Amino acid sequence: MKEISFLSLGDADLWQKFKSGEEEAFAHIFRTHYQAMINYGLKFFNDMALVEDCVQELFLELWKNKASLSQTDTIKPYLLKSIRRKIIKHATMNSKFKKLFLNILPKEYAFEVVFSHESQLINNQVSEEKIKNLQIMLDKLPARQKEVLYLLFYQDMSYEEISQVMSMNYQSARNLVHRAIKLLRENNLLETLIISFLFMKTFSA
Amino acid sequence: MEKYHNYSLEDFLADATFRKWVKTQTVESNQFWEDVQIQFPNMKETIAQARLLVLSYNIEEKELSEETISQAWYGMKRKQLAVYTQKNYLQQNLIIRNKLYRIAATLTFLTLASIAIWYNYFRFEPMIYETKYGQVQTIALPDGSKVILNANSRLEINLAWSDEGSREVNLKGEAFFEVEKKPTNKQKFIVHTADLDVVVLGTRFNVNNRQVKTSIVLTEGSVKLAIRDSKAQANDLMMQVGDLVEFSKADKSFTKQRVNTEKFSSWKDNKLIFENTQIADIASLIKETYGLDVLFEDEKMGRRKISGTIPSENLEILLTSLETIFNVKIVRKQQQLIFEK
Repeated sequence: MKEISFLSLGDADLWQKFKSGEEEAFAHIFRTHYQAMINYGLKFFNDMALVEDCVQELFLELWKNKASLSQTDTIKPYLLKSIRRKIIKHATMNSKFKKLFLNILPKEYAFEVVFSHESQLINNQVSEEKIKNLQIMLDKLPARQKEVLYLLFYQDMSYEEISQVMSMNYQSARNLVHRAIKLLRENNLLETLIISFLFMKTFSA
Repeated sequence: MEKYHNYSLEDFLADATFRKWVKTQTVESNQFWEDVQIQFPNMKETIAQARLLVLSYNIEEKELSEETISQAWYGMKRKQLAVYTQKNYLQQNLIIRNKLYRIAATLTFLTLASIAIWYNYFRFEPMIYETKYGQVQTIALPDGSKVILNANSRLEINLAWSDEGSREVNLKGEAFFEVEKKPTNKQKFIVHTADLDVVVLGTRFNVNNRQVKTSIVLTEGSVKLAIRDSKAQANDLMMQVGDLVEFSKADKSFTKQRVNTEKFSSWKDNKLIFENTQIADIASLIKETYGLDVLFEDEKMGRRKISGTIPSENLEILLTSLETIFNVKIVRKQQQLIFEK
């Protein structure tokens, strides 16, 4: 589908067009964010069919309630926040009663990522061993910390946006990363020594 | 660059420029970050740590093709319109059943379903795709078939497609079809136009019913043409690959000729192929595709002919090519294009 005209629109205008019932704007939002929502959703519950259903259901609800949705100038955090709620609910609340009547999310949920050992990093400077150890520790991090790092690295978000997605304040989002780094440092997993400098030389050559 | 002088590890991790450099290095970004480290040597260690962390957090993310996302979009639209008659409605997972009112709705529906099924069948709203001037749209149909809809055209899809019945669409304008074969149940695919129906069993073809003539060009497979007007003299017609069949509304007759099929569907690949084509014909093409009237300063100009391939991604490119080939100047005044000597 060619939707060139939408590419130049800011999120605020696009959202406004969607709210006023322009289906092309809706389609553009769907196409732009579908993959990110699927990937994010799979981290809470690794079941493609369920996640797809949740994403589709979410979009159907958005379309249905479009007129009453609030204005936003950042669509992606809004969508990720919504899909996060939906899937955590489905994954953690086995009782239909709870799903129906509890409007709060459980404190505990899973956030699973599968680390790939084929890191593009390995170029003699850092041993594979070291990366593996770092990944083992990353894997053991609490769900929230893993999640913040994921949103930073794979959804390309700022702390501000992350705080929106995870319904917390800016400082809490930063603190989560701070705690993760602290733990990695305590385990000497971030030691790089002079490597940093050599790196630069190698890559700029 | 100044801002980096007292960045913490957390700051680097949240810096989009930094992350982009780590993941996809370029000569420029390498240079930039080397400069940062020369200017602020105390940041070297932090940068290296941030980099190590970003690269270690290396996971596999799903890459969805445009096709897959299209299918998902279409699947959702289908759910939106047709969910109440789908047999899988009852098997639909907890997602749909998780609201009490939906359970109630299901029960109500069940009681009404048997009475209403035939009624619902006819009440389906078709999905409608319309392209504006200068816009080409690719549409994935639920059965895996693909339609490329040319500019200024309209395609209606009847959503009541089932596993057995025929798949039917209505076309006004021009489109190229790639129909998925359904060998198991000989499910037909039918394109309705104002005057005739194209009946298909798995094939690739172009339909154009913009002018007084409806023309069909068959690229692959086989199709049968059925005229809608019962008073017409001609009978059904089988087409073979390479055939161009034109149906004239005026005398309700077919003419068939062998052609280079590529010429007729090249618009979908953003190019136009001309073989001894009069400028006047190109003018009507521009009118159909972009909605602009073409005027000639000199009447004779319209009778000149060209052969060749012209890129047609957009109007500007097309006009520039025409200007060069015909050695004319094309001036645009609102909705008119004037070919000047």
